[in-house]
Amino acid sequence: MNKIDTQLILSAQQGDMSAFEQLVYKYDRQVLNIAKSFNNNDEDAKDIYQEVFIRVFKGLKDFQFKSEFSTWLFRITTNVCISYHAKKKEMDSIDKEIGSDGEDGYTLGDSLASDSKTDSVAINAEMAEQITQALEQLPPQQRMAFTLKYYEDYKITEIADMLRCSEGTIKRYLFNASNKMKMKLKNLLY
Amino acid sequence: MTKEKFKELAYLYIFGELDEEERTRFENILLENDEFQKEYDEIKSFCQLVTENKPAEANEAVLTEARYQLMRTLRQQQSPTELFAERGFLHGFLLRNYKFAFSAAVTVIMGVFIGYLMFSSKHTEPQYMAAKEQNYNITIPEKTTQSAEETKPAEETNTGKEDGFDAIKPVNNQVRSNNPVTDRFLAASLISESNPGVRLRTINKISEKSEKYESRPDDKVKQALITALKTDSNPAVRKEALNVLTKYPFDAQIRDAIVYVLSNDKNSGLRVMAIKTLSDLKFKGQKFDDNIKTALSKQASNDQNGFVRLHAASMLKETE
Repeated sequence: MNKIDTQLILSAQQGDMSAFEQLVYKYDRQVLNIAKSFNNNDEDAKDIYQEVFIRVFKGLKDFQFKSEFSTWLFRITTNVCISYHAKKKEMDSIDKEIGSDGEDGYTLGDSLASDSKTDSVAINAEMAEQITQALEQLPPQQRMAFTLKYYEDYKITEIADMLRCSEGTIKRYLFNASNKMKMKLKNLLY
Repeated sequence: MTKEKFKELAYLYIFGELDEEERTRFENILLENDEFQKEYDEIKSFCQLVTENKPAEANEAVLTEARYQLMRTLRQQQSPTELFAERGFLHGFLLRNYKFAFSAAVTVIMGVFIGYLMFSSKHTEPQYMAAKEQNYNITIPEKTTQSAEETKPAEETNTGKEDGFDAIKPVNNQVRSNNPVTDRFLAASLISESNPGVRLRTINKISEKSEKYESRPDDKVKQALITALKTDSNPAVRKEALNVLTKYPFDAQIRDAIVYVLSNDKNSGLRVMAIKTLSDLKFKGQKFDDNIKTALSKQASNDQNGFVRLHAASMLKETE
């Protein structure tokens, strides 16, 4: 383990808040980026950020240096992202039921087939929105693996570490997620 | 090779997860099979589409705000009792279920004891109590140096004129000693009090004590001031915290706190004040390290406020 991290963790375990702050500032940008990539929402990303570091603060006294601090931190991050997403989905489910108008199978191609003229900026924004919507339909584990690979460019071994799975499982998540996403976005590709 | 197996290899190739040998084998497959080449082109287009449209990273403002909220939440979670209680033994002893009643009794006794230490007065209390018992009329002098022996009962003076409390001058029970318990109370109040007016008065009290007794500042109080400087939502509280910290001996923690304000505070007035603080320190002969120079250089070029940029540039020239 990184010597600086070890010293900071030991000091923080003794109650040194400034050491804990330094530890937070070293990794918090990555945590926020993972949360933002997963949810594509600043407010949700901030909530996840708070939850992650509060858990780290409470659990740091039991940290036994069996793994890298960053690995442990990102595991907590992915867990919190997934559980936050599940809670939010439950809260939104009633709204979705009320608002549903039978749009199964809707793709961006259908909307772009209309006669309305849009400039390239609007098209890109719409594309990003449709990718996000397609991503939201993936199961949380697949979505997390997809986000960490495509958006954060982590290696498969690193993702396996974070999600506490084997590399084979992560590959399966990635292939399944990629195939589903490719199907949903097929009209954008041609 | 099946189409599914090829697709998996194609993804791994694009992700850069294949070793040298596997990459060469995959490239040969592409050359030999047009259908697979077409499939690969589709997969590559899809991957490019996704990576080119990834969500924007969280900006600096979002990160700064998240940090503020986190630190405030963590400080509030450190309850005031943790500043007083010993770790380990006392924590376990007082908070086990079956000793709850005993811990409540101990807490009450501690509260009474702390209250006695804070509010008792050695000079006026005995006189008052004695007078109350014997129906004496006594005066409270401006400087409370009178001892109990010097106070004569009203019956003995027989001047026909009663001495009484001077209602204009209030009885002032000042805490005359550097009581660490008082310091801890002040530190706890600064962190946990929700009313900014009370936090401001707490800082003023801390400032008064440090000036009056010229004593070595309590570390908990200093930490509380640094926390208030970095995380308090009220700029007046942050300003006063910075004022008080400048009275303490300059060290790495105070330096980092000033640099933090200079680099991160949302209020431009406070950033200017941080620069002025550095200027005062330089005037007193303090030398600046690279941390301070880097922060000044960054603010001189990047700060949103022109006044701050000007001051930072000017300060930077003086340090070089």
